[in-house]
Amino acid sequence: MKKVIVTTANKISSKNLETLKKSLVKKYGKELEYDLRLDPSVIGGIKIVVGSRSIDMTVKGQLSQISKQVVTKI
Amino acid sequence: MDIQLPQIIYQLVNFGVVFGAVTYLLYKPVQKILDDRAKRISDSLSEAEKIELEKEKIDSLKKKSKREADKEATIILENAQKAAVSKKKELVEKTKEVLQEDMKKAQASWKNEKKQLLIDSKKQMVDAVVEVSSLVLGKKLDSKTDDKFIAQNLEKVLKDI
Repeated sequence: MKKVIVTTANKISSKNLETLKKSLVKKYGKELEYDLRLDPSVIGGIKIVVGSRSIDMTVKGQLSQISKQVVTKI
Repeated sequence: MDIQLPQIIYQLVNFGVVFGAVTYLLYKPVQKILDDRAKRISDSLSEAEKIELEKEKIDSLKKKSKREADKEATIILENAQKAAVSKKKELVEKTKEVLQEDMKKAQASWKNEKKQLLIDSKKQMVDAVVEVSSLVLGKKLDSKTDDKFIAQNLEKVLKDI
């Protein structure tokens, strides 16, 4: 059973959660265990980790990425 | 005063005998002594001349040796001076090189420090901008707006995951 960690700053709406689950089932099958986490430090947006794969679309993550890109170009 | 002939003859004979005896007995030894003396003097003079010549020779040799020694000393001195000048030049060049190298290193180090300082300043500025942005967005992003933001990005997130 694959574990899905979903991190948001505010509680994710049921609509968004449903969309998320449907897509993940299509990709990874029904054997998924969800771990919904609240972390105000991410400010907004969503971060999903499925097994070893991860995608960060939180405000904190985006700012961090922008910061890294700017620092690299310096 | 009468002249007595026999007396005169006797005197003459006597003189002749004495002269002959003296000549026979003394002339040769005295002559020999004189000859020996003359020979000794001549030898001495010859020896003195030889010594004089020898002395002149020695003096000449001494002068020659002195001249050669002076010449050699001059050459040695000149060589030593040349070597000293060369060594001095070499040391000056070496010192110049070392100083230039040190200066280059110092300049490079200063440039690096300056560059690093600039990079650090820019990083700090970026961090500050990110920090401020986080605070501003954190205050403005309420639950509803956040949900909209998630909905907008969800498609992309699900495509990439």
